[in-house]
Amino acid sequence: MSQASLFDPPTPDVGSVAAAISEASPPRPWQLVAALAFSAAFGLALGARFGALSMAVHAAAVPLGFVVLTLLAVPAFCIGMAHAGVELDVGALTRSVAQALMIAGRVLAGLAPAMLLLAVTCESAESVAVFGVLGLGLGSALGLRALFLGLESLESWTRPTARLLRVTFTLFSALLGARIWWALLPMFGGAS
Amino acid sequence: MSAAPLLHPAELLRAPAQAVRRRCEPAQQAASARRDLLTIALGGLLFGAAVGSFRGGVQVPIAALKIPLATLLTLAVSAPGFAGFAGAFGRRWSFRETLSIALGAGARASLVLLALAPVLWLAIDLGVGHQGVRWLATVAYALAGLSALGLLLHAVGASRGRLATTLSFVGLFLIVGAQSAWLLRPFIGDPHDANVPLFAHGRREGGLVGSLLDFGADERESGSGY
Repeated sequence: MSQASLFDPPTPDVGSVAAAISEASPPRPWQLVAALAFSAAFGLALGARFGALSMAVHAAAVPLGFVVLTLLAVPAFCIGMAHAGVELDVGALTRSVAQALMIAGRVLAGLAPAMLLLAVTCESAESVAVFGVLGLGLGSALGLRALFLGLESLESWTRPTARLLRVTFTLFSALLGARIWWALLPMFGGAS
Repeated sequence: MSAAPLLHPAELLRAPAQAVRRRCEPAQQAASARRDLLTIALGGLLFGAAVGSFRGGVQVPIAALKIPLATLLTLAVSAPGFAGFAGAFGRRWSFRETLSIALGAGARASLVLLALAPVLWLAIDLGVGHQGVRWLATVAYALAGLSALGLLLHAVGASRGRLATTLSFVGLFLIVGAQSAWLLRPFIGDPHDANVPLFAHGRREGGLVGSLLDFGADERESGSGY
């Protein structure tokens, strides 16, 4: 059987995503690199309004935001899982995080042409920023959804404490992601 | 006379499930795409001509060319996003299938525009004003969009994530479609303009989001009349 690739269409039913992830082989480094490169396409489009340098900066900042978010949020999530009494399956967690990054990258790459159109043709930079936030939010939300779906196979994942953890982690990662991109992306007034 | 040319629109309108199946069949995708593109061009041309007839003269062919162009630009820009959303919500569609389904939905919407073109033309002929024409064109687009949505719902299927997939498709299409149309405006033309410009470049009207959120209201000049 051939290895699952980043470019393969996902499984037909979202309900089976958890099972598919749990059976999948560990993520290959190139798959993660490709996922981050996909999200960089969105950054390129986001910065297109202000020239080549801005495109390069935004292209680097969008995937960097995902890397920082993952490094800061996932350990916190693991601690939260342990406290909530959810079993800590490192393999399932790694696969789910990888799947989340891939989904987010693929969605952002898909939105890149629309972002490019909006970045180049919108009358005001504020409008571009609004659409940028919308795109990044949507990509991140779908990535987070994939992360939770991937962990559905874990025992005790349906406990009330685990449900509370999901809600808390969603709010935390949304705020953290917003803060990171706020600091990294010149479009939102961050470092240039 | 063969009825073959009518089978394509008949299937799109009356048998959307079959139309979706055909677009998921690799051997039939190329032929379906050709017919869909032709339908989009024809429906858009006639509806655009009806829109342009408000000003008449050269605005008729200009608007006739702009409407299908706006539709095709929207589909081309949205399709990668559709593919991304479909994958995220667990739809096992290849990029070709996604594109084929999007073209089918666009063709179905264009058939509705084709049907509504004479209605719009009649309203203009009976003396409906500029604001009324804008409203009628908007309603026509809304009806065309609903028709396209019907095909899309068949394609999305009944499995988990149906609502989210559909909403994400519709949201992306609306944003990109509105921006494409904004970019290619004017279609009807401002009644205050002696000559309707080909494009409204250089006119600051606040843009799509700016119009909604009232950014830069002080800097705006006269409108393009859409």
